[in-house]
Amino acid sequence: MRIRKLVGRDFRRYRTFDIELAPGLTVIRGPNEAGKTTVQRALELALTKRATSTAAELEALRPWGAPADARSIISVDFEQDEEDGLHTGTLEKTFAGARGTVRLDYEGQSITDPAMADQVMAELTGMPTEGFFRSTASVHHFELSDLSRDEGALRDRLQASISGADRGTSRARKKLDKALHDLNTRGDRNPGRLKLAELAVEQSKAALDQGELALAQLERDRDSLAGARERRADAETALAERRSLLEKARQAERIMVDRDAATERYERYRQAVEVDIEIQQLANTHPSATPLPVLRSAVERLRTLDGKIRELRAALSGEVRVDFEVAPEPTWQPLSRLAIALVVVGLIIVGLPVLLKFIGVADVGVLVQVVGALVALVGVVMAAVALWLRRSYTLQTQMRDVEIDRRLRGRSEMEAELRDAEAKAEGQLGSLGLTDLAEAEDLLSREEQHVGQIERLTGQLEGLVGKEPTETLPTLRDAAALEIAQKTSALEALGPIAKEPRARERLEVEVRDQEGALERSRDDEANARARVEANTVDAEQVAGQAERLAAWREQLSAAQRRQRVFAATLAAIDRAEQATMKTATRYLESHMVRDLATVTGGRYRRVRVDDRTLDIEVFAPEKNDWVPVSSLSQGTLDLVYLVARLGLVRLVTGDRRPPLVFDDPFVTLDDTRAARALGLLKSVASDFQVIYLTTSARYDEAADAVVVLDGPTSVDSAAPLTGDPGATGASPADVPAATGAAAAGTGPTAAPRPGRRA
Amino acid sequence: MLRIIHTADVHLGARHDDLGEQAAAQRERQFAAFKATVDLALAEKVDLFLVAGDLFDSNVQPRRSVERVAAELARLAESRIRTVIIPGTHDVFDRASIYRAYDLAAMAGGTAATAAEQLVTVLDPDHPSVHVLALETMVHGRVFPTKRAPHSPLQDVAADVAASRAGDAPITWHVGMVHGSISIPGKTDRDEVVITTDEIAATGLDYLALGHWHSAQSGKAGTVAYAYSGAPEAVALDQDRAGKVLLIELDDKAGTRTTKIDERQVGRTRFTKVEIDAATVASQPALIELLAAKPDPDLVLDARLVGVRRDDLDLDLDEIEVALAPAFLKVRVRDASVPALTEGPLPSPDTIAGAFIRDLEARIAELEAAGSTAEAAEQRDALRLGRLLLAGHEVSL
Repeated sequence: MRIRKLVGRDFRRYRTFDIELAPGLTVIRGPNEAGKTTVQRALELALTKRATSTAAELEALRPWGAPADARSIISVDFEQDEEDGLHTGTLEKTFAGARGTVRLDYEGQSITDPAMADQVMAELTGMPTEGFFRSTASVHHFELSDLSRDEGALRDRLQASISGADRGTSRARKKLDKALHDLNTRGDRNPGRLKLAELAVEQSKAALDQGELALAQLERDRDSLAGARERRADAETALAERRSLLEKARQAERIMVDRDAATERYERYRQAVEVDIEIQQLANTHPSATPLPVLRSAVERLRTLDGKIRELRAALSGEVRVDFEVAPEPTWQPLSRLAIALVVVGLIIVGLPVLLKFIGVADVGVLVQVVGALVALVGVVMAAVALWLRRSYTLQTQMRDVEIDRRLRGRSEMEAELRDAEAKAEGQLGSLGLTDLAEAEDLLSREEQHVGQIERLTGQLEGLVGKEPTETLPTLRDAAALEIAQKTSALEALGPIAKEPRARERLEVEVRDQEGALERSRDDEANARARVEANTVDAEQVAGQAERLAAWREQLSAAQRRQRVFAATLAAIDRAEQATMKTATRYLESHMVRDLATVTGGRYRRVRVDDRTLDIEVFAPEKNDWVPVSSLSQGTLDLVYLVARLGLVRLVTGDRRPPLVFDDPFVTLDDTRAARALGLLKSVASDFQVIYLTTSARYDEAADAVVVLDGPTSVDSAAPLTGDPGATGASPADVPAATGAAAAGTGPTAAPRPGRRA
Repeated sequence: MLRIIHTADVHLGARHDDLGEQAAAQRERQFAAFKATVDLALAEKVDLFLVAGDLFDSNVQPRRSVERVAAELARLAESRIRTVIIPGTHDVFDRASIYRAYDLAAMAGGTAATAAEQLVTVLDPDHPSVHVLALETMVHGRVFPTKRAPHSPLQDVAADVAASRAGDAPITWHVGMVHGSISIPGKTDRDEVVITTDEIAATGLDYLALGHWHSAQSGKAGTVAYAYSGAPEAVALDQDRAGKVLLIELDDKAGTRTTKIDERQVGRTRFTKVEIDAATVASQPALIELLAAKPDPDLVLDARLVGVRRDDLDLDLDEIEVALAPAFLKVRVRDASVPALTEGPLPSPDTIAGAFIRDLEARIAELEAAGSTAEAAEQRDALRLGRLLLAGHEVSL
């Protein structure tokens, strides 16, 4: 691609400029600040910058003092060698930030889409990006010297050049690195998306696990509750059964007590009936027909009569001796008097000290009162003796009087009495049907024994049944027997428990145990229920946690996939870069060798570029060894770098030929080297269009066309003059004035005088 | 005539891992479908309301959920509509069963002195049937205390029905309930509860209400009509015939018995899967516009991009889902498309782009040949990404 005409409006220091360029080497010459760099920048922007770019640098393109609505416009006319011949086209870009426009007319098509226009231009020039253009085909004079100062910078530059050839490998890598960094950043303060998702998954998982555990626990607790409930029901059943058995055992005990009572009663009534029969028999077999009381009084009378008869008979048969002495003087009276006196004296002795003490005469003490009491006691004893003596005296007197009376009655009377008594005794015996007293006594004795027997039996009967009428006894006995039979059958009905000895005691223990067991099972159930109720887990909340976890897992997996894709892309770019670097370095080496030999006059004919580090070495004939280019002189280094660039351009653009723009890169070269370099450019210019910007006229001769730019003319007359007046021209202060001139239409627009060598 | 509402598999409290933020709303919709079923039963004045298992999604559902169900059942009880529920596989009648933890019948006010008069009955292993006196109907529903049935739940039903028909008890209708699969060799014959059509035919039931399959379907085995009501509201993404309950009419005209099965829609949620050829999608806004063309707040839209996608189609799926969220119950956009391999002439292998493309395309071919499609897709994404980045395009990462 060759640019035939470059036109600018409101661009940096120019209101307008219009430069025609040769297909081969065009030298644009002018003093400092004539606008050479502006022309170079205009070319770069026209060929590579997106018209809609909002870069701050573009805002600065407008000339100082231009109207507010002024827009920087650059247009180029170009021609392109295609297989079917030469094609021409025009490109016009208006830079106005996002509202910038472009118009590309080429091959009958008019393109206004900025991206599309850039794409077509990239196709035509082989220059994919501005960066690449600037690092290869557009060379600023300071770049070579800068780079030569630092081998690392040179390497970086070269690498950037190769990367740039593939439309932004470094940018791609940077973007991928950043994206990966954003994904991966592990810091707590600034977690990456991956980390966020991992954290979220972890937290959701923990929350879900906890929820699931609680739900599982709830199931287990409910299971336990069901078990506890069953055990409680079992315990209740068992207790009820034991209680029922216990009740039976108690009933059996009561029945047995009743039966024992009935048995005892039966026994009593049975005995009573027997005793009663015996009594009946005895009542019918009395030895005496006379009732015992009558018999007894008759016998008593007989005994009296018999005694009287024997007494009378004895009186009549002999004399009885009687004493008539006067009875002795009774002895009891003096004793009684003495007793009374002693009692009185004792009482006085007891009472006197009290009186004396009371009236306050004397206090004679307790001893005297004790003595008085003893005296009174002796008196009382003596009184009792006197009383006993008096009674015995009275009895003696009465007995003596009877004896006297008896003696006074007469003997006949006694005989009459004897006959009467004997008759009465006879009568009595006759009434009893007996002959003498001895028989009567015997009969009485037998009758008493018989009645005694009856009374004993009657007593026994009463002891057995009390005052129960005897005729009811057999009935009661039979009733008791019936009750025994009933109780026995009731016991039978109660089952084996009724027969088991000590069943009640055993069952009472068992019921107590079972009550304890029931109590425990109730506690267990209450505890199990409490556990179930204490578990407040909400299945729906857990479901929410599961759902959140699923969502986060999805995000995590998406992030992980992105990470893998980014990493894979990056790794593939690295591999591709390594692979191409090798090819590129070989290509570079082969092209550099040719060009280096030309510019160094054959001094250096061998170059090698390290695949990995991109270090450039040349074979030094005087050392007969490879030396790093950093050890070469500045001028040579500049040349090496120039040829490296040219090699790169060829490498990357393939069959495309972008215009090459040089901003005086040979300024540091001596005349010889400069001539050789120019020679190189000349040879390059047969293939590429070369635009060489310089302050020097030394290249004019080699140029196909020379464009001369005028320098600024205004001076700051208001500023105080100091030192070297020559510095005034370079002072930034004059630039606005120069621009002002350009804006007035008297500046560079008129200045460039395109000239073409014949 | 006996009229029955038959539902099953309500799965209250189910988890919806694929619905994200909308999962809770879907649970509400499941309950709403159950409520709508009760409304339908009341409106149709049916005699019997059957829930053939899996009313709850698990035995650990919260009391709140049980109370809500009880409140609905109470409405049926107030209208003297008998409810019979059998536990299923999710809410199996084990010792931790939700039906043991809560007395649903009592909570719904459906208890009575005798089982025959109960308005709400939950059958359990000890009570495998209930004789609904007022309806002259015997409901047979053998359930087990374990998820896996030790034998067919229909094992004794034939004998019971025959004995009952021979006896004096005033029973006109015999209705069965089973929560399990009909045996399909190689597919369902290893399920936890399995019955065969032969067993169904042998029962002599007038109707067999089935649960466990979430899609409504019915059939006849011998003279026995049977049906799965399906879930009243879809529980998972692929249940296209869910959302229904069955209205059953058993009739006996002059000794000829007929069974009429009507499907009624109660669920609102629908699931649609769409596959979009990525090649036809021009841009993200175009895709959003395409998907948003038929907004439906009851629709769970599962959109999947397939095919080969153009390099310049830069999609942010999250953004798309967010943009479409207001128009649907839930939108899920997945990108199963793969970026194209490089079209046209490849750059020189001496350039990084050229080497990059060749390297990755070789790897992709290798992976695709080995059947590692997921890895191949990742490598395709890497290829696209690198290709765009190396060409200086803006790509959102």
